[in-house]
Amino acid sequence: MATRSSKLRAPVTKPVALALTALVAAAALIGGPVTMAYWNDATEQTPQQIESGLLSITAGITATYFDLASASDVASTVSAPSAQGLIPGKRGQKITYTLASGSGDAVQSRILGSISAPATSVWTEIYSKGYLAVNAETVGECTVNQTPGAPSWVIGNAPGQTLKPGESCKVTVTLSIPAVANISGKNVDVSRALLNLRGSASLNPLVDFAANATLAQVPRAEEN
Amino acid sequence: MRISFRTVPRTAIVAAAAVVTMIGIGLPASTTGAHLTIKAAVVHASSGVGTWCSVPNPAVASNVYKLSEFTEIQAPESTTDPRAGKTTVRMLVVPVVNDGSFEPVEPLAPHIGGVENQLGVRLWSCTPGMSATQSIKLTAWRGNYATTAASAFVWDAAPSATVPFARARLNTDALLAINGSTTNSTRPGVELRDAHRGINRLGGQSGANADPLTMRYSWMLTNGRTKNADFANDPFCASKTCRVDGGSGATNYNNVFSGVDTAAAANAVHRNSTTYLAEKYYSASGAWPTTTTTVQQLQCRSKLLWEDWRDNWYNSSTACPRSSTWTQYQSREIDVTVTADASPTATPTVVLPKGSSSVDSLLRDTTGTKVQYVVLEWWGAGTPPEDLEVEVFVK
Repeated sequence: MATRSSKLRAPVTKPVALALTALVAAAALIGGPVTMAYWNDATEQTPQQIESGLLSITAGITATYFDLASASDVASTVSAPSAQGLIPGKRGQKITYTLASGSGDAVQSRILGSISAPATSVWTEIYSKGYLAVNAETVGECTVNQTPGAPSWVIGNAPGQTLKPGESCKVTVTLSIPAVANISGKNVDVSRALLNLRGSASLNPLVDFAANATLAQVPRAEEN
Repeated sequence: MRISFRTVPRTAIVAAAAVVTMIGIGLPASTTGAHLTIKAAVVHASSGVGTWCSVPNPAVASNVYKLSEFTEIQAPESTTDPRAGKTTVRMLVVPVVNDGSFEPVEPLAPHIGGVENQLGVRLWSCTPGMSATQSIKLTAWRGNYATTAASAFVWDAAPSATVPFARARLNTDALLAINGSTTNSTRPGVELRDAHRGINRLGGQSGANADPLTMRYSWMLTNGRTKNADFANDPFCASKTCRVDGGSGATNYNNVFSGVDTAAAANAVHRNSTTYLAEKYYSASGAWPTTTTTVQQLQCRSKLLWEDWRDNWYNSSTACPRSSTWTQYQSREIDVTVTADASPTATPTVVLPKGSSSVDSLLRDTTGTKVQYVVLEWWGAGTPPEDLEVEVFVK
C-alpha cells in the first residue's frame, strides 16, 4: 500500500497545482472586466504612462513650426514676424500626439479617443470665418475623423485594425493661417482681417487642444 | 459521494486542469465579452498667433502697388529736351475712375480730413530705416484726350469689363518726344510720363494765358510734403502766368513712409501708413480760377429822350450830368458782378462716381472729374523693400 500510495500521490499533485494556477489566473483576468473598473484611471501626472500589467498606454506630444512660404500660392505681405506663433502666409504649426501601447503588453488593443478644443470667442470667429485652416492626419494603426464643422476629431481604428504591443497611433494636427482666404468667392487679406477682428483684444490663446484616448483589449479571436 | 483525487482517473484530472486553464485565459475576452481597458491622461497643446507687421496685399486690393514691381523704363532726363539723355526710372501710369476698384483698403484716419470722392495716395511700409537715396514722386493729371485716336492708347493692361481700372496700366516705354500740344495722335502714356517728368512743352505759355500743364496738374507727393506735413500745400500760385507742375520728387523714403518706428508692439498687425490727398490749382475742366465781386454801378438816362439806362457813360464821376433846360437826367445804382483772375489756393481733386459711363468715355474725359491719370514713379540705386507700397484711392 505504502508503495501504491506513493505512486498515486505524485501524479495527482501536478495537475492540481496546474489547475489552481489557472484559477488564480482566471480570477485575475475576470476581476477587471466583471466590475468594469479600470485598472488605473486617468492620471494627471507626467509622463502619461499607465500600466495594468497586461495593457499600458503612453501619450506624448510634440509641436513644431513650419514654413508656409513655399506652400502659399499668394505672397504674404507680412514682415517682422515674431519667433513664435502662427503668422499669416508665413508660418504654420504641427502638433503631433503619439498614443502607444506598451511593448510588454500581453494583448492587442483598439484605440478610442478624441482631440478637441474648448473655443474662445476669438478662436470661434476666426475658425468660422475660414481664416484658420486646421486638419488632422494619422500615421500608424489608427484613423481620425473630423466632427463636421468643428475643430475636433475622433480617433479610432479601421475594421480589423489593432494596436499590437509596442505599436503607436500618431495624430498630427496642422494649423495655418493663409495670407489670402477666399470667402464666398471674394478674396480677403487675412492679416488685415485679423486686425479688424482683434480690435483691442488679444488673439491669444488661439486654441488649446486636449487629446485623450482609451485602449481596450481586443478579443483573442479578433487579434491579427 | 465524496470525490477524491485519489478516486478520479489521472487523465480526467489533467483534462479538467487544461479546461480550467483555457477558460482562465480565454474566458474574459472571448466568452464573456469582458476585456481590459486602459485610459491615457489628457494631454494639452496650445497654439496662438505670433506678432507681425502687415501691409495691404496687392493680391486682394487691386489699387495697391508695390514699388518693387513698378515697370522699369528709360525716361527723358532733361526737363527741356525730351530727346536728350535718358535715365532709368520705375513708373506706373494708372487711370483712376470712381468705379469701386479704388476704394480705400481701410477707412482713412479721422485726422486726414478731405472731402468725399477726393483722390489720394497712401504709402505703406513696415520697414524702418529705408533708403535715404531713393526718391519717389506721385502726380495726377487731368485728361486731354477727347479726340485721341483709339490706337494711341497703348496699354500694358487695358481696362475693360473684366479688368478694373485699378489694374490697368498705360504703356510709357517709348522714345517719342512730347508734342508741342496734345493731338489726336499723342500717346497718352508717353505724354503723361514726360509731363510728370517736368518737360513743359504742352503748348507752352502764351502771354497772359495760363500754363497748360498747370491746368492739368494735381499735387500728390513731391518735394514739400513729408509724413509729418502731409497737409502741406503746393507752392503758392500767385498769378495766371505762374507754373505749377510736378517739381522734384521726395527724396529719402524715411521722410514720406511711416515705417514701424512708432508701431505698437501688440500681436496681429500694426498700422503703418501715411496719407496724401490730391490737390489742384485749376477750376473745373481746366480753367484758370476766377473770383467775382459785386460792385455798385451808377447808371444814367435822359428823361427827355427816354433813353435806355446806360452805365455812367458821361464821365467817370459818380454823378449823372446835371439836367439842363433841354435834357433831364435820371440816375440809379445797380449791383454788378465783376469777374477777375484769382490767385488760387489748392482745392481738392475730386473724381465723381462713374455711373453708367463707358470705359472709352471715361478715358476721354477732359473735366478731370471722371478720370485722373495718376503717375507713380520712383528712382534711385538698388531695389526698394518688398513691403513698400503705394495705395491709390478715391475717398
